[in-house]
Amino acid sequence: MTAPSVAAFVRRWNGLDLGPALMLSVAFVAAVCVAVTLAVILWLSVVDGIPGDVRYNYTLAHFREILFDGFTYRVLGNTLAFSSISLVFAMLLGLPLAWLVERTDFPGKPVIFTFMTVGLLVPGFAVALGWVFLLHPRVGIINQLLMSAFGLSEAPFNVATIAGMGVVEGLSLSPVVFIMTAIVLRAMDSSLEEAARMNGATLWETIRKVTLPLARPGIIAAGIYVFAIGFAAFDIPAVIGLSSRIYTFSTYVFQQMSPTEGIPQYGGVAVLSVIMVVLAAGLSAWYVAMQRQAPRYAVVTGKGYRPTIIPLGRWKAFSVALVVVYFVFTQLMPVVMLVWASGLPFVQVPSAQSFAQLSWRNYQTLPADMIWAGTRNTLILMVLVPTLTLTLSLATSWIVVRSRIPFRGVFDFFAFLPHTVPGIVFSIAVWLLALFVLRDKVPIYGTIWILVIVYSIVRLSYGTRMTNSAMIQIHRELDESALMSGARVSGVIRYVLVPLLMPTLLYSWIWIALLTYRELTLPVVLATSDNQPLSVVVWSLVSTSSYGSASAVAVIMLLLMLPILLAYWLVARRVGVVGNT
Amino acid sequence: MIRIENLQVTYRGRGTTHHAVRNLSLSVAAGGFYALLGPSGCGKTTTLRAVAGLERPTSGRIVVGDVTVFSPEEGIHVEPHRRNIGMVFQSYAIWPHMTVFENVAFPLRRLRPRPSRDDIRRRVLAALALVQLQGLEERPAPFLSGGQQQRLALARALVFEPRVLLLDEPLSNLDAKLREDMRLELRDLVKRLGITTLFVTHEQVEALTMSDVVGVMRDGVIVQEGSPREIYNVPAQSFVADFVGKTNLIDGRVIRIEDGDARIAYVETPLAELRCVVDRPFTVGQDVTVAVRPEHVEILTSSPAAPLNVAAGVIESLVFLGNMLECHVRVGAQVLRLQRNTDQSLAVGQPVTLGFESTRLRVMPR
Repeated sequence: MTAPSVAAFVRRWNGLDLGPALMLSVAFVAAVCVAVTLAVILWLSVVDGIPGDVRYNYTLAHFREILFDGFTYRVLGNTLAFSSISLVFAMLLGLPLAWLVERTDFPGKPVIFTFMTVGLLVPGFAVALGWVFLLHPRVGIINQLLMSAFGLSEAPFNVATIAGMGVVEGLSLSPVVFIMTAIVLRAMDSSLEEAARMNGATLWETIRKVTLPLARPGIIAAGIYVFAIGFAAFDIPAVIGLSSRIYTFSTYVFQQMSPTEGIPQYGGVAVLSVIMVVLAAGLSAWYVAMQRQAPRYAVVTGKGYRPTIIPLGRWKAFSVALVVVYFVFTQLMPVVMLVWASGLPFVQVPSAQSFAQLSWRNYQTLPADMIWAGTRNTLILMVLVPTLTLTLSLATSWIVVRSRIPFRGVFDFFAFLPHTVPGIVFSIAVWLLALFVLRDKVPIYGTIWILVIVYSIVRLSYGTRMTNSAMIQIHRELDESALMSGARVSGVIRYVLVPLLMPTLLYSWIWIALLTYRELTLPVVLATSDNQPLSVVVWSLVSTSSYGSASAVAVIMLLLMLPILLAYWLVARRVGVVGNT
Repeated sequence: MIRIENLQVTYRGRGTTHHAVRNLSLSVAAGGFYALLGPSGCGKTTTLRAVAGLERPTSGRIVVGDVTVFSPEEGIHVEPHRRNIGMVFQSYAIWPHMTVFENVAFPLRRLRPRPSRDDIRRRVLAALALVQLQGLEERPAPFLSGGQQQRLALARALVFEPRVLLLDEPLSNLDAKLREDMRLELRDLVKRLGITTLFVTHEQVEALTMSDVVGVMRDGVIVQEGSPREIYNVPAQSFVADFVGKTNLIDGRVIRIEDGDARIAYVETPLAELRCVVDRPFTVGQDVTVAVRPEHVEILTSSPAAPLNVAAGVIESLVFLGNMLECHVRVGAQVLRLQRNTDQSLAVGQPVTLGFESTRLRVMPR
């Protein structure tokens, strides 16, 4: 190449705008990751023999095996019962609370919102552990107390049942219902309620005949959402039910994958995963349909109004007492139990004798290298996962919201898909992918990277929802004026979009970091002793029945979480948003 | 200089195609101020965005200065950031996370080679002085009034001395009083700098008062192009007459052409037989529309000598507009709109005789 042509090439290259190509490739990587992961599950469900083996052939045998197995239906029934009970409990607690906070002169509303958000973030396995200590038929202290007080020969409560786990799950999902319905109630035009009151309806009639029917699509949407979470839940059924062989879908799949005897039935696991995906996708489609229906009721009118606040009067003290009881039961008691159990050699009813036994022993005997490695892994994940998720989300949103690439909606579809797919299925899929497809070609299994990738893919639906809605709110002309001022697309993103998105990005970053911190479902399948985060350390201690040490690690985790929670609270207050899973 | 040749912009939706701009050609002389005027959805903004490079036309050719920026036959589509065009957006598009200074410095910092810090500072201050925003450099952009944001947008569009300036309804977000002041200020500034300007608006007053040439657009086509005076006084079609200023449209038919003078035509209308001065040949029997401006309809005080160009009617309503009186007169089935001095004593229900001057009647083929 002669000198002038090199110069010409460089000139051309400088003029070329690589921004769109870069965005497209990043968004493409995100979509491909999601698609490949799910494709692996589908493929393994119809393949015979050990995958990776050249002699495999296609078969429907796995489907036949699972679908003709009575136990599958028992697990399905269990799962449905479990999610229904949790739905009912979450609704019974979340709905009235949302109404109290949004529509009455209930005191201390910001405090309740804060507590509810914390409730979303306290790790599910920690809560579950607390409830085991309270209500387990053998060790649960409430059972012990009642048995000795009334001379019962049998424990009155058993948390290790479908109903017991459903209640615990419902308690931990009530903040989700609370936050989702509070938003619906806040957006509702209260002049409709006022009109009912003016026409002679009592308060109770107004709630029943006007408020609830108007908010119905929003409430049903919240219900489906919560039911779907319950359906896919892993932490609580695993910690409480697995040792008693009480299975829901997630724990059953998990158990099939790591059976106590025999080799794992990969085909069966894949088929169960496919079934879970199909059922969850159905719920998701229903949820989306409900959300679409909501505007038809014209709940949101957009005019400046202030909802009428109903004075509670003499009911105020009573409601405050109920809310306090709620927080004590759902959030305080399990945590207090963890702290209590972490100080004792075994769980016992508080007494002079048990207080005398309190010590730091459980903390001192913790496997220090495991804790250090776990802390290190958790911290690496908390930094890398939000960063990678938001990078992928930003690129996907730019393609979907800003570019004019044909079929850009496909990227949005794939980014939303992880929302539909239960977490355990994702981790299983990636596990199978790593072991049977990538193998030593891409030696990713056992490294922290496999966790970073899975976490990020799963959080993609949350990340893109945040970046999509934030980017839609940025006027397109702000981009265009930067283009006209001589900026390339990459410059527009760097100097205009990213600075304007910063509050949203910062808020989502911390939120994803917090979800990463409490995550157990994803690493429980994928983690090895080299890359396990703290949550898996707790899990492995629980599964070997080392409850004292498990509680100690869980308590350490809760303490470490405090500064991040504080950071979240400060940012959220500035951005003015409420958390969401 | 801007030249657009045979521009086509077509959107393909699901099974439908929408022609936003159809075979449009126009040219703006160097230093000229050209206004594209039309109702919303006529394709004027699409045309402007095609010049900017923000919209990709289906076919045609666009030349800015002496550079072809778009020509699919030659494989040319210059990216917007390389077109060297200043643009003021309808929303102003002031970046809210930057100060006034940073907003104006942004285009200079994108220049290659990048100007020195001092140079940037000098040019930003000069641009701010040009739009009378000196002293506000350090203010965050959101803390500006509507008029100041408008000026800032203009300073940012001019600071890098672009070849041409595009204005997309730049005054539509200002309140009425400010808009009037900014019209003249904007025009003076652009004329002083001698920058070629293409301007899009749906406000006929803006187009008439600011530009050298007005192109009236409808359904993706320029239906008439001319000086503001021509557009107002000699509209080529009833659409132009109606869109630019208020007008009365009267349907009729040519019944006679004056012997020896093809410039005089007699048109039979439901109101009266009208003797009109025409600027193009018509044939007897041709269906036409006669347009007459409200300010050109007379109310006769004495009874006319001949029944030509006269119609009798009754005042149906009077609307007080402050500086004038708008008067609706029913003549048979049609209601004509008239403008009168406010001091004229008129009453609803009063019978009046209307007179039409031949030179004020504009005959257009239907």
